[in-house]
Amino acid sequence: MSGSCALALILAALVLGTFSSAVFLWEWVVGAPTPLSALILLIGITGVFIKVFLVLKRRIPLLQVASVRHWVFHLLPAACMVIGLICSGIAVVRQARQEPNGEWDAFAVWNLHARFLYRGSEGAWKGIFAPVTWSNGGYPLLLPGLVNGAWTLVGDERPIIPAMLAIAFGALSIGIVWSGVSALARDERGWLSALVLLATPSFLYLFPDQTADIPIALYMLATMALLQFAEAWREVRRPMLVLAGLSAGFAAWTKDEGLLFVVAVLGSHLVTLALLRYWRDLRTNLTMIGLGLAPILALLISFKIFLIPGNNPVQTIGHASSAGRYWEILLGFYDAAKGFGGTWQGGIHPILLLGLFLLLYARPLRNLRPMSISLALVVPAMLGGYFLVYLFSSEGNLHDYIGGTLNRLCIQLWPASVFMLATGLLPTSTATANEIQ
Amino acid sequence: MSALLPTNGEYLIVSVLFAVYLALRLNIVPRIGGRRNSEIFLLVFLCGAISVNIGVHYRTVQRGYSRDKVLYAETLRSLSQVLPEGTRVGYVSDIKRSDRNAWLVRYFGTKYAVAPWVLEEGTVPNWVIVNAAVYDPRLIPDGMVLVRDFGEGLRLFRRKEE
Repeated sequence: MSGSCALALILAALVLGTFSSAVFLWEWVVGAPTPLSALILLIGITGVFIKVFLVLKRRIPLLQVASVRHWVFHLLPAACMVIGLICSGIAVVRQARQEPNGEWDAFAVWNLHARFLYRGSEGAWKGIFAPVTWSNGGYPLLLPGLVNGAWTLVGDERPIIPAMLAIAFGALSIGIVWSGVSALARDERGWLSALVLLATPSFLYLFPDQTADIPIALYMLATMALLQFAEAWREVRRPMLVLAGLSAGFAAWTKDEGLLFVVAVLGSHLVTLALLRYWRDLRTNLTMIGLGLAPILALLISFKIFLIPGNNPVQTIGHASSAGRYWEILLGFYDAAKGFGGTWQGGIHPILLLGLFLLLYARPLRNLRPMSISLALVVPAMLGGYFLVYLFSSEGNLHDYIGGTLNRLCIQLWPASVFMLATGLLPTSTATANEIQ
Repeated sequence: MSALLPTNGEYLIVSVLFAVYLALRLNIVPRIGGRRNSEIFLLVFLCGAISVNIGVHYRTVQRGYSRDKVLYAETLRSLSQVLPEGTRVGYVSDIKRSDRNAWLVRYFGTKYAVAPWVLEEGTVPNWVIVNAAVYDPRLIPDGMVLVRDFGEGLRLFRRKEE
């Protein structure tokens, strides 16, 4: 049941990404879509994904709930989840009403680009890429494309639409963590891992902000979840890998960090399977992931080549030899770690919550699955990538630059990290209840 | 300089509860200790800690999380309706860039309002928006005429036709 639910939620996220990409491609190649053509696109894409869902659902193994713990373990997390969802839901909606147009980046970048796409028919939308002050024209267009698509569908530029989409991305993240972890662990830890997300205030503050941080977090999470499903459910391994590639592609089409994520996922996969000498798995996995990734990567590369001026992440190598620069970046990472979660002045640090969660479920490491090892490397690879970006950045005030960005970068990785830690140490899905215990 | 460790009371309570958990886990008091009871205690402890954070988020939003409402004043909306078809519009403000927040609020608010016009700093384009806290005629060069004063420091100018 929770396996089907997780798959349905992930496919819903992929429908949003596919619809956004298709609407943007339509606008670029054919011209601005009409409400009717946008509706036909949405119905067609949704139909295809429903078919995929029905086919995969039949092949997902139905496994019994494995938990044999005390009844408190069944009741308390579920009750906390209900209360948490109500409280957080009220707070998120309230915040969305307080800032109906989102946070700075929403109207300076994401919704601004959506307006260009929506209002700028007949090519005026290419004004996004005009080299004027802080245009940020090089940012990928999944979120603006989706908002534009939704505005086109309803035929009006309603501010509530980006707000609702932003909340939907957040809700999908929580739902995927809950159902995905429940499906793989077959016990109550799905509730608890979703609760760890709900107990991260800075993650929830970002929902109504309408920026691309929550959407990219969702696609990173979906990629990790699909890769875990591919390993756990051998019956649907190949389609899950293709979908994981598609999801990773959407992460790259949401924000530039997504490209680093694609490199981290492929790189960690390559290193792990090569070191373990699983050559056949390596070839199959990379081919399947590549199949899903290819169309979105082609769109992204075309976008970078034909529409935007060059944007090299290595802005300068002058700082690489400066020891002070390394120290400053490390201090920035330390400050970001402290401030992570928004609980330093009140509340309990989410890493501490995760520690308690792991204390409850950690078992001796036996028969670790290659995919779990590979996914465990993704987050350190991402953090290493961020370190290098800061090292090669030409920003004058590095302290402010890191302070203004790193916290959100860490939040992007948070749902995927929680999912990975909650599922990464599990035995295979065919294990008995006693093995899981 | 922020402190090395957090100083709020929650962490003190967490430390005490963690010590209780360890005592139960190590079965220091055999009547109430042991693995099963310590796990139940840890679960209740974790759920309590989670509830504290959910409460922190709820209360913070209740206190108000609103920002930059000025950006979406009706004036900006009416400005976007007055602009004719075109591509670029100039932008002038009396607010210094060093006053980062005030400058950004006005600049991005205007930019967002006039999209898909491209907002270009300076007075080179034929249409120029003045978004000034205190209007000074010297902001606009000769040869431009006022099209409309929207109030709240927002004015639209157009170059005189030759």
